[in-house]
Amino acid sequence: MRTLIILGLLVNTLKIASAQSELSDSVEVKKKVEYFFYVQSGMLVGCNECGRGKEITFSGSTVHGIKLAKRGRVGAGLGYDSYYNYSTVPIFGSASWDLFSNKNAFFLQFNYGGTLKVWKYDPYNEYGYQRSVGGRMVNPMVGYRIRYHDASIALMVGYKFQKIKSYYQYENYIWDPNTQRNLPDPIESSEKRSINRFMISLAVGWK
Amino acid sequence: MKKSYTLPKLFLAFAFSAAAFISTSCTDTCEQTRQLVYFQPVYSTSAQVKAAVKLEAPKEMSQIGRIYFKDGYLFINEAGEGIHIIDNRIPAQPKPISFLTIPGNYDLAIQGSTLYADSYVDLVAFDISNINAIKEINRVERLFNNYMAMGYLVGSSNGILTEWKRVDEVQVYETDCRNTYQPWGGMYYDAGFALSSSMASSFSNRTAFAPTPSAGAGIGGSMARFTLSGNHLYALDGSNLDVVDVSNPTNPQAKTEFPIAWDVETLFPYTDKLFVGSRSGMYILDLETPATPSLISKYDHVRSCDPVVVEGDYAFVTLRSGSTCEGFTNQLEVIDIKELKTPTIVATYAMTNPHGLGIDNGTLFICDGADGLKAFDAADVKTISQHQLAHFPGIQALDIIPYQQVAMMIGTDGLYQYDYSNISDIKLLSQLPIVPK
Repeated sequence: MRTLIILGLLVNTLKIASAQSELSDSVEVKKKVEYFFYVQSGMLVGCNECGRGKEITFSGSTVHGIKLAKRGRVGAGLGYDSYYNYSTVPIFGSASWDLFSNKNAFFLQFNYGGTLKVWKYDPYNEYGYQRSVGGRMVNPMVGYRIRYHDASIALMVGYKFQKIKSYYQYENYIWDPNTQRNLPDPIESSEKRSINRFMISLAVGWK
Repeated sequence: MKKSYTLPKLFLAFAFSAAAFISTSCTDTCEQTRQLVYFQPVYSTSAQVKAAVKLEAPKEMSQIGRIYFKDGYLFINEAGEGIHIIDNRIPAQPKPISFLTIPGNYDLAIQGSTLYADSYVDLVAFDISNINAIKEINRVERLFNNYMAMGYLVGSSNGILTEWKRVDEVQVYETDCRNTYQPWGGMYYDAGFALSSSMASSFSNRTAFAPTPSAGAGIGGSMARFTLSGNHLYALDGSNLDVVDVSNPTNPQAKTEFPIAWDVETLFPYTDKLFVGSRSGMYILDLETPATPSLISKYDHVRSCDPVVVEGDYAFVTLRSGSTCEGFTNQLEVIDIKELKTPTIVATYAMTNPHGLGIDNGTLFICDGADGLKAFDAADVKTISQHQLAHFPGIQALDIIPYQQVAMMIGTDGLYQYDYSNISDIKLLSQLPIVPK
């Protein structure tokens, strides 16, 4: 459901942006809503297996949206995050607010969404593993944006939270009195993993 | 001008402090959930088990085990619960008269006016001289010391295992995220066992305690676990044969324990020999010295369930397939036992899914599972299939006792009785329904 809402938001944002683009060609006076996008690439710092120390993994995403008034922005994004043993494709809604109305400004950003796809990196063919599904993704950030004409570059730092649920099934046999034999009776188990990461990223975009 | 930079600097300082704090606490947390249903053993004292024995008003039959016929009365075991007593002096009108509650009862045998029945690990003797006032007269305690349920000994230092109590349980664990822990299923030390939810839904205490897989009937018939020969009661106890001296019916004495094989299932006495059906073959024991049986020979066949009956020089064995029996064969085998040390097969006949069988004076009855009851003239063992006398389809036939021109047959839906005084015109006399719980 969450994914559908975010997809809807993304489509609407693109429609508005497209309409705005047409408007800007014809009626300049009504230019109140501006399209923006950026592509960010960065690193996630934290650990799955903390005994080995902090792990640094890749995070990338693109966000497309519209500007609201002078300081606000809303949009929708799609990304790719790596967490050492897992990789995810988050889809999310994004909102940000510039703290100061300067051309170059500090801003707060909040991304919230779900996960389209999860892969589990499985080097040892982990016993009993069946599948993983992604859950909630929360990503508050602070950043500083520098603008040059319509282009921008921003440095962001923040926190990323990602839920992943993995399912396991273990071979098990039990004595069945009906048949007087040991019959397979697989035991199922699930693991909810909450991933917490420090995030630093660099974004380049338009407007 | 200077003032305008103060706020951004403060913000920057705050942001980096927050980032530093977050970066030091960025680890994963994991919670592992396992959904299992645990069954815990419930132990009773010997006194509690004894106190539950009583004669009650008749009950509906729901899961029939062995049957036994004696002097016009039918004794029908209700698996794990006791014995239905039916007045069968007029086979066309069988009349339930009482129910003898015996916890943990799956088998019985009768000699004279004494009924012997198992009650979990005990052998109990009842005086049935007055059928309306049956009473316990003696008990051989802990005779069945190999009796197991779900891999647990029923008789242990904790008492007598009488029930598996279902305990629903979902376990949630915080883990270190490094390893997922394999949930434990199956045996769970002394605290019971765990099943998945799907398996647990079909779990039955009755079948968990049943000593043998089949719910079929026996009367000294083809699927009995108890049998009498001379003054001795022979009873299967796991892989062993227990011998009990019943020359003094009111004071049965446990004698020897004779190991046979882990897959033994049925007993059939004939003259001074005991034929033991197992999944891998038929054992022939010599009872010349009744208290200490000795093995004469073993006839091997493919893995299958194999009740056996004997008449004259031939043993008749049915082999059937199915998950219970592991095998893939459905047939009747006729074995020449003139030379007991070297039994040899003389004929095989294809069947549908044969269970119990019975023979009386050359008339062979076979309970052929879903294909119903079949009767054959077995005078010529090499042409049995050519001499079918009757076929009663539409019954899930399990076992049969042909005795004095009345064949008493247990099916999954009832007790059927047939008159075979005229073998060319075998007739249904009556049916007592079984109402599954």
